[in-house]
Formats: sequence, C-alpha cells, structure tokens
Amino acid sequence: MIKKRLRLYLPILVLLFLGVFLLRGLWLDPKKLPSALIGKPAPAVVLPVLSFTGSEVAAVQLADIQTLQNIDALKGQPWVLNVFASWCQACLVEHPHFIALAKQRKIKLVGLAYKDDLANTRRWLAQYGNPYDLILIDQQGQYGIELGVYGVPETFLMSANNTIIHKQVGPIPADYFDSMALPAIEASR
Amino acid sequence: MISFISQFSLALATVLALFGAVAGFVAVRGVYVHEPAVPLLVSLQRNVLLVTSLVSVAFLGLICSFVLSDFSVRNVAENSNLALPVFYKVAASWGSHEGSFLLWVLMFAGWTQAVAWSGFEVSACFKVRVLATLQLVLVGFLLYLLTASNPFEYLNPTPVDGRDLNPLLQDIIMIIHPPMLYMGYVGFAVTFAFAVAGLLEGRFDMTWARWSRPWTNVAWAFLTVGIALGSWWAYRELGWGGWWFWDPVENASLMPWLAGTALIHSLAVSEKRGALRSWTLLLALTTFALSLLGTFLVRSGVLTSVHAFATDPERGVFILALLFIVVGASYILYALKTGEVGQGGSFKATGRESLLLSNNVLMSAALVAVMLGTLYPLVVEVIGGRKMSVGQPYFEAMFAPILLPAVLLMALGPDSRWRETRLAQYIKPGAVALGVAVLVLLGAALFNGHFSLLWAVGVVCAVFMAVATLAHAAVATRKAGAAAPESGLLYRIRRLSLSYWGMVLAHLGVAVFVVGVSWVKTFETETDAVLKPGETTEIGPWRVTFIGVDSVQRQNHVAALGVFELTRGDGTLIHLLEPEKRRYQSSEQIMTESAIHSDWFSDVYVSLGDAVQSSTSSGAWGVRLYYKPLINLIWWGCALMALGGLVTVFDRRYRPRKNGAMA
Repeated sequence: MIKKRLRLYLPILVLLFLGVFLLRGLWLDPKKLPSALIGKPAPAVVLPVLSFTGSEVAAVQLADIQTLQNIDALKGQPWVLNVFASWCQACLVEHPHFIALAKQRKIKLVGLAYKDDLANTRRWLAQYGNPYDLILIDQQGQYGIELGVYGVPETFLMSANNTIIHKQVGPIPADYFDSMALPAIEASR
Repeated sequence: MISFISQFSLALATVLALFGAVAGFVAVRGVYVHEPAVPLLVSLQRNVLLVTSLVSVAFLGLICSFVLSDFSVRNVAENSNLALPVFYKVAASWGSHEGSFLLWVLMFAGWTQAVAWSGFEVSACFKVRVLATLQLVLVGFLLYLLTASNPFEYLNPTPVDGRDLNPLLQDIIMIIHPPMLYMGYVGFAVTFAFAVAGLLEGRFDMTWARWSRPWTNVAWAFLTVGIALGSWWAYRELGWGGWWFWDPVENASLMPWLAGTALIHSLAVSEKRGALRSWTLLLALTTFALSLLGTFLVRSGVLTSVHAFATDPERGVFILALLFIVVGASYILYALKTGEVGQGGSFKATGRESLLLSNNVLMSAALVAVMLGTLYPLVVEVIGGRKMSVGQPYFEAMFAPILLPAVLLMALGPDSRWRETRLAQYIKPGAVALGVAVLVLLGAALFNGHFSLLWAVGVVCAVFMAVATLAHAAVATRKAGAAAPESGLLYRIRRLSLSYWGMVLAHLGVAVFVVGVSWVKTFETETDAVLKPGETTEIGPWRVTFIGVDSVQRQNHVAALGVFELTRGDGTLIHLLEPEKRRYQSSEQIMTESAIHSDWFSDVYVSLGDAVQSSTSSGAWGVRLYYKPLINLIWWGCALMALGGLVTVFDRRYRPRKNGAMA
C-alpha cells in the first residue's frame, strides 16, 4: 500500500528532476560554446584549395584540386575562417552578411568547405555568391576536428599571428565585424 | 493613450481574476452539497466575463497600436514599420514574444469564457472549482505580462519608423498558425481544470470523463491544425523542401499532441468502463503540463531553434516558476487525492480497453522518445558542459516502430468489444482488409517500378487500417437501419453517433497521413540546375522551362520574380510558376519565396537561387526543383484528423439537457 502511495509521487519527482535542468539551462547561452582553442594558435596544416571562378557549375574533377595552402602562410593580418557547407541550412542565414562583409573588404575571408561534396559546394557558391578570398577544402572533416567544430556554420577569427581570438557558433550577426571581430582584434593587440 | 488603457485593463483583469479565483475556492467550501451553489456560480461567471472583456480590450489596444504605427510602444517599434501592409501590421501583434503571450492570455480567457457559458450538465460546485482553477492559472500569466514581458512598454525617444516584422513571418499562414496552436495548448487547460476540480472534490466518475471529452477533443483538433499549419508554413516558406525538421520547437508542440491523443483514448475507457481513472487523470494534468513546457521551451530560449527569439534568463525563470507552481501543485494534489479515485472496472486482454491502453502505451513511448531527443542535449550540457544535438535519424528510427504498430491496432479498434472480444471477431474483417492492403501495395509497386521497405510497410499498415475502418463503418451503417428497412442512407448515417463518425474520420486521417509520409519519403526527387532563359529541365513527370526573371518593386520589398513554364511530359498541361527572391528594405534580409504547383496530391516546387554571373551564361539563374509525390496527403490527413476531433463535439450525448439552472 505504501509502495503504491509512493508511486503516485513519481510525476512530481520527474517534474523536479526536469526542472533542475531547465532552470540551469536558462543560464547557458545555446549559441555560446566553450572553445578550448581560444588564445591558442590555429592548427597549422596544409589544405587543398577549391578553385572557383564563379561561373562553373559542372561537376568537378579531382584534377581540379591542385593548389595547396598552408594555414601558417596566412599569417600577417587578421583573418576570418568560416566553416560552411552546401548542406547547411543555417549557412544561408549568415551568407548575406559575409557577402556584405566581402564587399566592404575590411578583413580577409577564408571559407572552409566542410564535409561537402565539391560539386555541391560550387553550385552553392554559384547560386548564392562567393564572398571568400580563399576557399579551403576539408572533405573528411579532419581540420574541423582539430578546430573543435561542433556544427556548421562556425566562424573563427584569427589574429595576425594565427591565434584564434574569437569563435562564433551558428550564423554570424549582421554586425559581426563591428560587434565581435573588431573588439576581439583590439583586445588581442 | 491606447497603450495606457490596455495596460490598465490588464492590471484590472489580473486583480479581478485573482479575486474570482480566491473567492471561488473559499466560498465553494461553504456550500453544502444539498445547498444550491448557483448564486456563487452566477457571480463567478460574471467575473469571468469581466476579465475576458478586459483582456480583449488590451488585445484590441495592441492591434490598434500596431495599425496606427504607434512607435512609442517598444513592441510596435521593434516588430512593425510604416511600409508594412496593414494585414501584417495586425498579425505583427502576435509576432513578438510579448504579443504572442498576450494572445496566449486572450485565448486562455476565451476558453474560460466558453466554459462559463457552456450549459453542460455539471454540478454548480464543480463548475465553480473549474472556473476558479482557470482564473488562478490566468493570474499567473497576466502577472508575467505585467512584470517581465510587457507588450506595451514605453519607448523613449520615439523612433520615426519601426524596424520590421521578421520577413519569415510575413505570410498568411503565419498569421493563423500561432492562434491555432495556442487554441490547442490553452484548450488543454480546460481538461486540466476539470481534473483539478475532480481531484478537489474527490469526484472522478464516468460523468466526469464525459464532461472532459468534448473539451479535450476540440483542443486536440485545434492543436492538430496548428501543428499542420506550422509544418505547411515551413514547407512553403523556408524553401528547403522539408515539412518536419524535428526542431525543438516542433517537438515542443508534438509532445502535448501525443499526450492529448493518449488522453482522448483513455478518456473513452474512463467514460464507458470507469477504468484507467488514475492514469487518465495523470494524462489530463500532464497534457497541459506539456503545453506549458512547450511554451517555456519556445519562449525562453533554453534550446536553440528558429523560433527561440529571446534569450533572457529572467523571463525564462518566470515562465519556469509558473510551470512549476501550476504543474507541481496539481501533481501534489494528484498524489494526495488520487487514492480516493480507485481504478475502476477490470477487463481482459482482448477487450477494447486493452486496445485503447496499447494506444496509450505507444503514445507515451512516442512522447518519451520525443522528450528524450529534445531535452537530452540540454541535460548533457548541464552535466558535462558538452554541446550535442539529436537529429532526424534518431527521431525517425524511434518513430516508425512506434507509430506503425499503433496504426495496425487502430485497424482492429472498431471491431473490438468492451471487456472481452472473441479473437474470431478480429479475424474476418482483418483478413479482408489485409488482403486489400497487399493488393494495393502490389499494384502501387508495379505502377511505380521500385519500392522501399519503409514505403511498403507504411502503405500496407495504412491501407489495412483504412479498409478495416471503412468496412466497419459500412457494416455499422447497414445495421443501423435494420429496424427500419426502408430508411435512406442519410438516416442510417445519422443513427450512428457523431462520436463514432469522428473516430472514423480521424483514423482515416491517420491512414492518409501515413500514406503521404511514406510516399514522399520514398519517391521525392530534387535537382539543382542552372538555366538560361528558354532552357528546359525535367523533374518527376514535369518539364520546367525557364522564361526569365523580372524585377518587381512592392510595398516593403523588391523581388526578383522568376517565371517558369510547367508542362506535363506530353506537353498538354501548362501552368506558370513564379518563385521569388525578395529583399526587404528595412532589414536588408533576403527571403526566398518558392513557387509550388499542386495538383491536390503531388507538388512540384521551384526555388529561385541567384543569377549566375559570367560572360558565357548571360541571364542564367540557379534553380532548385523538387518533386514531391502525394505530399499533400500529409495535410489532408491532418485536416481529416482535426475534422474528426471537431465532429465528435456535436454528439448528442454532450448536448446540455434543458434544466434551466445552468444557463
């Protein structure tokens, strides 16, 4: 009988249990992610470069990938690394902001085509426009792992000596450059 | 001025509702069973009317502020602007966090009013407790509006023009989707209040269940429509070609729907057989609890989602506290009082009760699966600080094995008898229906040329269930006229109860829905193409010819309007498709408006990409095309389900008897 009585309190226990997590969850910003790499140098590897002239949409040949880019060689000025993919819906949200940023030419924009079919990447860029000065390829997601990419899109800001100084998970806001990138660059100096 | 009146109305409504609730609960204790509680009820009903009117005034005030573009109200300045068409200005009233809560409160007051006005046969004491409970919950939300989320907050200095309504929300469906959804969420509050009143009185018999049923069904029907509209909107507006994304917010609305579905069926057992009482009671409380949880998840920003607007812990804490107080109090009441309720009649494994119980088990399993998938990332993050997400594969893997058996059981439902059914009773109609289902499957497989396992299982289950249901309806209709052999079909149909026909419609809706889902999942195709004017591409049975792109200036946006000509393979049928790419001036946001040609069942869907700039391909545009066979069955299925839910309400049994006292 007592056992049966106790069972009746189960709903309230479940509620309490959930409540603790929901309450705690309120103070976590779902868009803010911890990054162990902030303040650390960007992992220095060599990545293939996607050739994209803006007009081709045809399937890409493997032979297309010729040039390689060493991440270390990007030192010299602050730059932005945007992890994107053609299969990523949220990327379309931030894409216009990158296009706008590219037009203002305030900072070097590097795209990382993440776990994507190259033909799709090109088609995507042809369709929505290419804001990047340089597009690197990470087909297996290896570099993504080294960077600690949780999901696409993510945007890393690198200082002039290739230190990761800021990370944005999810689409960047329209005022990304002024509200996030500039303060981070100032602070890192 | 208007916003001042509105705010004052809200404050007054809060005080009155609090007074009504407290007075109701206190006064009803002094009323003896044999003493008529009617004067108390009448005064409480008047109080409810007053509160509803005041809330309506506040809501009208908000609409006026939007229509008149009163930018001294922060809410208006942030969610509207001068160029916004009037239609959307009205809709913007519930486009923001604050406004949508006011709508929530308005709906809540409306439902309370409906209970107060309804003339159904309840003891006056019981009705007083129901109304007092509803008023008490309403006070909580009114307080939230007045303190943490004021829709009429003053903005100084007053801007010359407002920002804009999120272009994603500038869509006709988006205007009706939230009200429908809220009608459902809030409607479950009535069932909740019935359960609380039942617990307070220690009264939970078959009449209790009969009172609860129509309210539950209406709320469920609205929720069904609300969810379906949301899904349809996502399909049309987001331009991704999908219709359900297992987004936390979609899940948040699915959870009360699943619980509500279970509740509808366990209420049937409780009404007819007096069984499963304690469980039904718990479901009634939980369904509303999940509606509140849904509101909390959507509006607190605790989970990432397209809908989560504000990440303001203060607001979240308030809603969470409300949820806690309302649900916690009711669960404690449940734990203390439900012992008096008793379990009710027993039944055998083959009886209808068992089938309905299996429905409950399956719905609860689905509910737990959705809840786990939705909240697990949050739990993991709170414990370990790690971020993760649970996606479509998980939900699909969980859902198909839960829902398909449910569909099979539904086929047996109408043939079952209460308490105990001889197995032979299931076999004959079952075998016939299964035969038909297999034939349909083979026919469809031959016609389509290829098939998948999911599709085959889905189609067989759905057709099996639909045929069994229709067959039962046919037999029942014939039997209904047995007493009067010359009677017409209409007479016979009317002899059967509307509850029965509601069930038939809703179950057929599920079958139609399942066919739609399995078909689309298996046979949908998509292509990306770059087309120059005059070029043609093929998708499904259609040929799509690109004519060109025009630039169009509208009230608050500029649109690139693509024109496509759609022809059947043989070149006879011709339609024009005009997908758009819009740039909203105020927010500089770019929106894709896909164009859909729908032939009642299947859709062809064209999304305009961007112009491809290069010397060789002048005037070429990137285009994405989808062919979605039978996708419209998904919406038709939902419509049938909702219609079924609504039809039951007009059943004769729920009509008030004329005794004058309850007017």
